[in-house]
Amino acid sequence: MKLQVDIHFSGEIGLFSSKATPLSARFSIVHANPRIIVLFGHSGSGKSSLLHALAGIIRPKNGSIWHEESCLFDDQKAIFLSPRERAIGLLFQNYSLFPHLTVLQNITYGLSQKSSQQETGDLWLKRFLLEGRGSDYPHRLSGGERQRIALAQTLAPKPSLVFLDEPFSALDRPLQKRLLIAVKEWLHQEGISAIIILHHLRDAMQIGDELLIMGKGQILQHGTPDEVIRHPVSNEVAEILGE
Amino acid sequence: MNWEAFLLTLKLALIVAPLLLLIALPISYFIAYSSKSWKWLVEGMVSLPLVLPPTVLGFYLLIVMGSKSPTGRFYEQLTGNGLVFSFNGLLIGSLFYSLPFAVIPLSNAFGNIDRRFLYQSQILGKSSLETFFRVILPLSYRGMLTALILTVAHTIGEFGVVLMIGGNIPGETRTLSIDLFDQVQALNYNGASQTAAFLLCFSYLFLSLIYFINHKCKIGYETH
Repeated sequence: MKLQVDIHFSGEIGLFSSKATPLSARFSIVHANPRIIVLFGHSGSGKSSLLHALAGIIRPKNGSIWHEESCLFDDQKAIFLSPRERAIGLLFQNYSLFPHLTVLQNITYGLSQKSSQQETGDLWLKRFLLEGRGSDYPHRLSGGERQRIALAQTLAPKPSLVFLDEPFSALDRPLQKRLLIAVKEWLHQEGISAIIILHHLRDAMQIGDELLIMGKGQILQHGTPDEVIRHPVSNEVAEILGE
Repeated sequence: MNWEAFLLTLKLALIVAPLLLLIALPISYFIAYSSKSWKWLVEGMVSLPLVLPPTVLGFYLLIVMGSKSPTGRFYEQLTGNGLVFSFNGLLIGSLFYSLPFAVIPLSNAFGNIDRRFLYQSQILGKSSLETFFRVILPLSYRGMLTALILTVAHTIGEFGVVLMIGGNIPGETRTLSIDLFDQVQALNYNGASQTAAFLLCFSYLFLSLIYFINHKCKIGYETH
């Protein structure tokens, strides 16, 4: 995985509110293998804004974003790839399933091959314990079921990099643990890198290869979960981890 | 009741409504999603027929479509007939006059769609055109129905523009509202009251249908 980020913006119009959290993020993840990065921080620290900027939904004011050998954004060179051109996956915080499509149609929306859609859809329904719900419409599902469908929708096209914004928040604890392991195994198996926002440190420890600690729109610390927990660089980081 | 005028009015409305829907789709898309700083100029232009006296619009259309104008001459050379005082002229006039009744409900419907659906569609690899047909249009069906019904109802009730550019030619440009005016001029109050009552009931039914659709009518995913 190779992701180099150096982006800055303040006061721009955000996606769901009039203003996005001001952000100044600089980090670099270079590793021979796919990685799972956990983004950790208080509410309002800019985690979602960072994911939206990486996905191409928010255009930063300055800086650059490189993924593998592709430049996704560079204000100096006037490069800004659209979300479609970035070939990434994004699960929104409150998940957005298309209300006019069935569960199966939602899961397979991003698949280009029509022939394998039914098969792939059934596979994801089984993987996320939702067998038999393929013909239901989203409004018939519980919050937890909808979140699982949205997760399946994001992962099914197998993008090389996925951003998951609190992917398990609507699930009960036993299901959270079960899916956390299932998603981790699947990502490793498919060789897909991910940046995941989580709220429980133990989940972050379990799934994350690396931790990015965010506070007030900045990356406060970056390292393996062990490194970060053993040696927090500031009281602020220690306080965030303490929560 | 002048059935010839009724059929002509109905024909006009049934051609104008789908045509206008097609014209209104890209304009509404632009109004709903464009970030151009001059977007308000387009919005103002589209809404102009709402406040402009129909005779003003009719007058300018008369000038533009008349045989002395380049467009009027071009049309005459092409078809051998004049555009003014013809059904086709009436059709063009109706398209302009009813434009806001199609664009406003459609652009509102487009604008009310949760933006996350549009981003999600793009992130999942769909182009803007695919997103338009697979997400925006299905989620805007109420807006489209409202636009269609309003356009039909408004075209049926047109008077000023029709009179200015269509005149009063039986079977060609004499619509129900013109026929009503004629009957009053001829002091035929019995005939006039029938036509007026018909137009009143028709308009009321159409408007009620919009409210019915908005309150009660559910399709596909909403009823499942």
